[in-house]
Amino acid sequence: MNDGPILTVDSVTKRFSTVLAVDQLSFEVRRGEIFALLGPNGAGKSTTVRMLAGITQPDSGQLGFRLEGNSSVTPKAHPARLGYLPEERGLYPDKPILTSLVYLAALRGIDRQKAEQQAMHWLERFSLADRAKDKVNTLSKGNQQKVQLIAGVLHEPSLAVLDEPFSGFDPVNQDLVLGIIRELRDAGMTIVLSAHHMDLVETLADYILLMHQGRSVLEGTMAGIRAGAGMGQRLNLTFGGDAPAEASLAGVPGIEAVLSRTGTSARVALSPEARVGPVLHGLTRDMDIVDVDTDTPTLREIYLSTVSGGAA
Amino acid sequence: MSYWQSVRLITGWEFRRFLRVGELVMTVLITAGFGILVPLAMDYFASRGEASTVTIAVTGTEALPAFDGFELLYMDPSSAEAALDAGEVEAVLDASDPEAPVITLESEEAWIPTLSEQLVQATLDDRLAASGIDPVAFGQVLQPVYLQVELREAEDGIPGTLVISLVAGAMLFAIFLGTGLLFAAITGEKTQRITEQIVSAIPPQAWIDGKVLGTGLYVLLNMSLFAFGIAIAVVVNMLRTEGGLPPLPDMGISPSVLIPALLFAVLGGALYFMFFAAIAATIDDPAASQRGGIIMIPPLFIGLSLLGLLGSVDNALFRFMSHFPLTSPSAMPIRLLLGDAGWGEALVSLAILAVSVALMRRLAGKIFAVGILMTGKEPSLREMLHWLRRA
Repeated sequence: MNDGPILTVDSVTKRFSTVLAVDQLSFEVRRGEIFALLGPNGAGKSTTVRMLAGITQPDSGQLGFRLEGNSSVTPKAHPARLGYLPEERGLYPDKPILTSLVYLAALRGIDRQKAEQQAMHWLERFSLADRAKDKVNTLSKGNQQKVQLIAGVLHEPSLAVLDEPFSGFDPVNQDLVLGIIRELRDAGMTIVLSAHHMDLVETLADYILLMHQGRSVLEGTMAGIRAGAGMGQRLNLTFGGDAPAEASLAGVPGIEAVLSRTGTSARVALSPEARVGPVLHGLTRDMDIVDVDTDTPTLREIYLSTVSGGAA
Repeated sequence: MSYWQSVRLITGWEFRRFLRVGELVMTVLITAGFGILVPLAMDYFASRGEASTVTIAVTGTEALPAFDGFELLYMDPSSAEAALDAGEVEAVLDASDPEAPVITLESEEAWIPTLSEQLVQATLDDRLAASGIDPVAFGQVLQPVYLQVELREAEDGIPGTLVISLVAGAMLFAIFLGTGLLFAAITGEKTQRITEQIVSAIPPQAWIDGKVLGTGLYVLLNMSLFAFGIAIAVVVNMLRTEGGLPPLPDMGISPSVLIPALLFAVLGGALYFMFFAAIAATIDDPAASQRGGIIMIPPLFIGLSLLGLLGSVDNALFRFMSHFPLTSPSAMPIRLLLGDAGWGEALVSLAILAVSVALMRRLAGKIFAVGILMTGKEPSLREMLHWLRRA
């Protein structure tokens, strides 16, 4: 078993007309991990994902896909080992679901019989087995997205590239997809996903790369990102009456910023060196605090702090 | 999976994508039914026309001969007028002046030319009788001389020009049907955003190759069934009218012309299919795009070359057309049939066409690869040329 990176992205740049979509991007994806590309719309995630899937080519830089014992090649050189879920979902609407899935798997070199077995297995997982012979356009939008996700993974690729896999799902199905992605990872599949749902990815990804304007601004494990972000703890405060003015809260020693303030509650960011005890002492001196809890900065807060160059 | 395995897979998918067995059976039934019912209806109406008799009141004479299909009732003018008013006769013929008979009726009728013909013949007979000329001798004098044309290639067969026209017509039909299907399929895939999923798995060139092959096979099947329907109609009509099947007529065209004509038709179809697949990939919104009008290019070029059937085919312009890839599929077979083109010229033209198909395949593949993934706007001609230069 080769423990080296399955995918290497080295100084990749992609420009569309006057827009620099991806700028000197470099990263590595290790075998069997969930790697998340995060960022807002326009950060360059989808362009990166499309290059990984072999749909577009980088203007400069290298993409290397390394299977067990093989030398590095482009990911598209092994379509059977690559799975892809496009951001803009599309299936043949007038074709039966099972036929469509078998065809898409066959395009990746999978034997029809095996593709059919796998397709039925996944349709059962998504409670769609009884609809296998129905036409795609008879499914709801959410169910069509499930079929699209199945098309991306049913041929058991070594690397699955999923562009916005949670998009369009309701919370129940988002949880279902989260669980399935974990299962695939546990079964040995490497997953690269792009998303702007940072709260979902925070709990899922083994490794995260935050993108802004085509560049990597922060990367690492969630714990590593938190440690490296240089951001202090958060206090969620509930007051006996209306929350004090922002200036009053910000004036308490150890509080770096007021993140939110609504009604009787407020969320504040402590400076990295501040400790909770002294800050609470300062707060309770003049304010009627009825409840308090602490947490760590969210990925979203870290991202906003990083791209804005200050505390979120 | 190899490149050609991908092409084969796509070919099968595209072929089956349009395949509706019920519709194909209907194509045969409608074609055959139409071919059987129309002659039947024509015979029926013809037989009704023969059986009916037109009643005419005649005034001014009682000496007209019997006319086929007409009943002549001799009356005085007032009685004739009354009979016409009452609807007892369909017209009143005033023959008091044999040199200028007058017919009165409510409205124009289809039988007037027949009546006129018989009146003229009766008048001529009267004149001959009055002049004392022997009608038989007079008929021999007036007998026209006909130039009989004898073709050495085929006697009593199907004219070669008709065969060439049919081949060109079939090619045009195939191009219209095939390009229509390609347009619908490719613009549909772009609209439904299927493209990325496919392009991530196979090269765009394999996709367009498979599409053209699959669509071409479907078109061939469709045309074969259409021809089968016509054959059924011909056989049924022959059995009905002749009581059996006559031997197959000779075609006024030798295999040395027919086989190249078919080869030119296949390559011509492939050339236009590739061209239209690339154009379709650049269309973002089929409802709003102006590019659909490009589909009129084939009839323009092929129709232009078919004009050669009407005149000289060995002039400089037609020689050029028989080598130019957009017109050679129909122009060169015409020159092989009617002109002085030999095997050498035909092979050169065929080679130019084959190279053009190969070149068009590559260019179409490049345009298709970029266009199929482009959404939101249609690329300009300048942009497409830029892609080709980059490729």
